[in-house]
Amino acid sequence: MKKIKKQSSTDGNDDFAGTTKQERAVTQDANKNMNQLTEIEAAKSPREAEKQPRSQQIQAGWGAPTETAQLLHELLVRQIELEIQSEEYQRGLQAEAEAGLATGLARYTDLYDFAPVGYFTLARNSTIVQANQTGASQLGRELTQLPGTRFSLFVAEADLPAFTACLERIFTTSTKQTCELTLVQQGQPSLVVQFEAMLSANEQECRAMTMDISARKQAVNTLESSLEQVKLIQNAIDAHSLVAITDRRGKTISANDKFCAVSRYSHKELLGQDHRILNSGFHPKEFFQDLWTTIAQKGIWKGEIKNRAKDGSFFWLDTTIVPFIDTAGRPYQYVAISTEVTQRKHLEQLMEQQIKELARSNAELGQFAYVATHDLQEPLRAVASCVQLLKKRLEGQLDARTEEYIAHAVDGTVRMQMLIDDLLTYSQINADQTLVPVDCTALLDNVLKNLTLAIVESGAVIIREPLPTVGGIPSQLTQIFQNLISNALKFRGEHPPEICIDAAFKAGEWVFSVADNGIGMESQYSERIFRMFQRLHTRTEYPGTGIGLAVCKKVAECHGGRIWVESQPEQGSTFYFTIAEKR
Amino acid sequence: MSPEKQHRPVVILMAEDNPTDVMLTREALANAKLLHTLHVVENGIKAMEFLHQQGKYAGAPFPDIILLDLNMPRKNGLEVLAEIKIDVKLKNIPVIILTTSSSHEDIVKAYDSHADCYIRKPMDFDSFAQVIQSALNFWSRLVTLPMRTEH
Repeated sequence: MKKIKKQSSTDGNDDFAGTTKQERAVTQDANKNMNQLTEIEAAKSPREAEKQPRSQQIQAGWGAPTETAQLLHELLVRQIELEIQSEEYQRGLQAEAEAGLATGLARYTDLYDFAPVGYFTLARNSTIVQANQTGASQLGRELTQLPGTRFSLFVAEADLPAFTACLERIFTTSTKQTCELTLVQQGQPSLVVQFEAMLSANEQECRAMTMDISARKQAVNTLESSLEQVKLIQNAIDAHSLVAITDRRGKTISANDKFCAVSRYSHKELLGQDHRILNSGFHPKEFFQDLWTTIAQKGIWKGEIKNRAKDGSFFWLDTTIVPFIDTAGRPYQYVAISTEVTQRKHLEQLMEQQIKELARSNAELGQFAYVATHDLQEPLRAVASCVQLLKKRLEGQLDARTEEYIAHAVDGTVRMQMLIDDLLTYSQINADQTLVPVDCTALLDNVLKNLTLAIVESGAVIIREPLPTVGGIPSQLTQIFQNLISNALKFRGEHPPEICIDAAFKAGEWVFSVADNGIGMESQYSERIFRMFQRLHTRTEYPGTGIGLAVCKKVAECHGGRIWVESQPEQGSTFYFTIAEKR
Repeated sequence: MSPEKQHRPVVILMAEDNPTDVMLTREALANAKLLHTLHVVENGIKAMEFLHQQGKYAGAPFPDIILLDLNMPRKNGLEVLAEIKIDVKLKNIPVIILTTSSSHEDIVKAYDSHADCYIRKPMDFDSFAQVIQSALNFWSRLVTLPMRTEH
């Protein structure tokens, strides 16, 4: 009983941090029980004290007269009766008190054992004197196994110095001490507990509480590693991008170093400033209206913005803006992550300029070629026609030599016209026409029809392999086939020409070939023949302007392809040209 | 073909800035067995004035056939052609494009603007004379055109 009483008072004085309301209520309950006990004892004591002097008084009066003796006797009897009654009463009281005590003890034991925290009574060397059920299960042992075992055996090695120091402080300072310990079971970390203890009244042991904080610890760890991850990502973003955050009204809340470096403003100059200080004036009002509308509707905006730096220079950002939305669904700040693309933008502008310039100069060239050919033909016609009219008018009056002069003049004009025509054709080949699917088999039918006369005259054999359908410009493809086949007919050897037209698909492009058994050429000329007005033979040997293969080259190039020849003198030639399958 | 038309000379309007071509055309017509009167204007503006009988062309006759060069100063042949073919009064007059241009683009544009035919001037005079004669013969004798009120 004494022990319980003391324990109860100790408990009542204990002030564990983290004691729950319930626990406190329990403690109060226990106190109440103890108070009752104390009251009972207090009630019993004065009676015993009273009993003693009265019996002494009675004994002192034995020698009195009979009446008195009678009275005395009665009194004595009464007293004995009273004493008996009192004894009985006292016995009843005690039984009652003992029963109440047992109930309180049982209740207390339950509370002690099944408290949500572990309770330990430890000696200075951490030997467990007593523990509750929760404490035992925290250590992974049966409650009965614990007394006599050292608590330190259950502490992770890394935490041992801290534990020892903590325990030492408890016994030296008599104040409550706390430390965080990782417990181990079979050498494996099991729980993390908050260990709190203070010296007990006898100063020989301490009372400790262990609260399992593993879950909290786990959550903190997870949070910490997430934060670490976020930090790493932020570092990466900061290293790569310009990051600026503005509030709802567009005032800059934060800007990273890169943003400052590019905009040439310091953090101080940017913070609290309207983000519009960077406005270059390049974009129209609608651009920003669209930006805000897009953010509001789609929750993201991506685009390129031209900004003005502090020094007045301009920089381009490829930017993504995302709003941060509050619980009411309203944006409270905007985060802009950008990559500087000034260099690229400049290059693009330069390229655009050059493309424009090129288009202009091409158009000019086309115009020039057109005007030149047209305007060149008129005087030519004047010469040719007038020479002919002259010849007509002087019919019969001219000598043979004069006739020949006239013939040369006429021939000259005819050739000049051919050259001009070919030049015009050449200048009209360009890539700015739309590509359409061209069935090369059908196209070749047409070409061969155009060349029927020459084919029949030369007795040529045409071998046709299947040809594909490609994306191309029909008039130009007609020209390339027609030029190559008529060349094959023209530059024939002694035997009747044999011309094979074929196509093969290689590495994403069609390779067309026109092979002949004609006169061929030395490989040294295989480049030269594709240049304008380059001829290997005199006009009397083989007529022509020397522009046909230049036209073929231009056609191939306009189709994203190449042209080349494989040839040997007297061995025939094979011309190849390629057309990309898709462009 | 109206009998009246047979006896009336075919009125030809030639819009041509090149004197050589005018001369060659006259030369070609001289050898043709076609009763005609040839009116020559040297640019597109004058061609339209002639057709609308404006200014010095106030009393100009209404042409039966127009020979139209493409490359002319001030207003080119394609512009003249377009104006003729959208004009209710003029659009039925056969317009023969007579040009040195062999440009594909010119040919397409001319027919898009409803040219009646496109003839490339041959280099050789005999061919030229033949082309002029057959074209005029075709449009003035062979084809039947709607009757129109003389103005």
